[in-house]
Amino acid sequence: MITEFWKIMGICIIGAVLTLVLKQKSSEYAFAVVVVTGVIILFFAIKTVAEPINLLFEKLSDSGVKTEYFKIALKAVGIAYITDFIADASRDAGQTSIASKAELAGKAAIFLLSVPVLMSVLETAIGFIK
Amino acid sequence: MKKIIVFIVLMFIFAIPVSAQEGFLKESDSEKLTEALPQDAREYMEENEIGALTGDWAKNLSFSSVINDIWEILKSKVTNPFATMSLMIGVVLLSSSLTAIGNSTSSKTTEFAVTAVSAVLIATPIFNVVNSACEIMQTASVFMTAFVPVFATVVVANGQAVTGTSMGALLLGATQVVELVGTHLVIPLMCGYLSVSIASSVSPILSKTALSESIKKLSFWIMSFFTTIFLGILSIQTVINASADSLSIKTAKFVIGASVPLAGTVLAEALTTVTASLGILKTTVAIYGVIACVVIFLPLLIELVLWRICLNVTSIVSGVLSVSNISKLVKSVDMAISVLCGIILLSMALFVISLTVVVSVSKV
Repeated sequence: MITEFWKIMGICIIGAVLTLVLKQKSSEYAFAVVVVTGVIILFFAIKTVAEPINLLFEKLSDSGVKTEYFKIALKAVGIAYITDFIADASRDAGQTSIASKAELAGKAAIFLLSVPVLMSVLETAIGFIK
Repeated sequence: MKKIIVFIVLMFIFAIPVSAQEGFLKESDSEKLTEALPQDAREYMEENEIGALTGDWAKNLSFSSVINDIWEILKSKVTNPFATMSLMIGVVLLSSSLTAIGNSTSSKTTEFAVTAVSAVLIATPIFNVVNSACEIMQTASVFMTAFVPVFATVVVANGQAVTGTSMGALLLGATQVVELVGTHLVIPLMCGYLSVSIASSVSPILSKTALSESIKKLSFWIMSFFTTIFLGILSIQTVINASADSLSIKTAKFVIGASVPLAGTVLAEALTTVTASLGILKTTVAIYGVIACVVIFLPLLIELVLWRICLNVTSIVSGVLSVSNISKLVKSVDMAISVLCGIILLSMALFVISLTVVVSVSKV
């Protein structure tokens, strides 16, 4: 876990330095470095978090607890992170319009994901009244 | 001749309670009482050989065995609240990780989705707990409806006709009132509050602060009102009726002693012995009722306490991580659970105190 953390920090610094150097010569390459660095960081971060989350799911499945809603929350947070990453990258490249479109797509995906949850909230609330 | 007639009449009068006791508390009647218990409570009573007829089981009752039984209940009830708590803490951590994104629009949408997930995670098991609380209150009422007439008969057989009759009617009435008020007034109020809390977690336009306080106060006020009035009336009636019963038994002893030639004193003493033995039976039946009540309500109470612990831990974690939406939701659910705890405790206290009052006050 700690090793992964140092790896991520190292990649961040290398990516930042590379971007600074490349920005003076070619902004296109600098943008590519930003995107690649972001993807690598995201990959390592997901890899770090995946192990304890899988362990949690295993334990909860053993105790017979339904984890589907927790998975939805996890997916929603994941979508939010990816959307934010893409939107920020697009803004860095000066594409504000694409950034806002990415955010709109992300929000729509999160909303679609949370529709069954909202239905369940509604059903439970009505169940209490009945 | 007059004395002989008086003697025969008195023999008939005091033969009735004894025959009532013999007729009422047969093995089959004890089984009927056990059958009125819910499945879990019945199994527990049978395992520990707790019966209404004899108090032999009391010898096996020890502090360590009671603690052991409570520990077993704890172990069987702990899974669901703690699993929900770990999921909720996971959701809180996910929600707090959104601060890394900042105040972007996607983070707000995700926060909304995560709060909805936490509402579903917490509401479903709580809904089951509320349902089981309703069922337990109803089964407790069924048991008391079967138990009170048997206990009243034992009290009457003990020579306390007035106490037994008035206590029986009053306790039966209270059983029905508590069950009706609890399941048809307080629990529906609380369910309404829970549904508003869950809805408001995904719809911030609904404010429930004033509503929660009102429902909490109203629920406790209604239950406390009925319990206080009932216990007050029962205590006063039992004290007065016990005096009347005591007077009638003393008069009977005096009449027997004075009117029956030669064996008068012996008969009066025999009456005292019969009353004392029936007093033991009365205490045994009352303790059986008290234990049955505790066995019916205790698993639910333990489950509610476990839920409160888990909800408070989740509330603390969400408070520390500044996830206010989930913190508010958890606090409102905890409030509803505390009201439910209060109702169950009041119902249990009503039955236990009633039986204790009748047993302790009406001793002759």
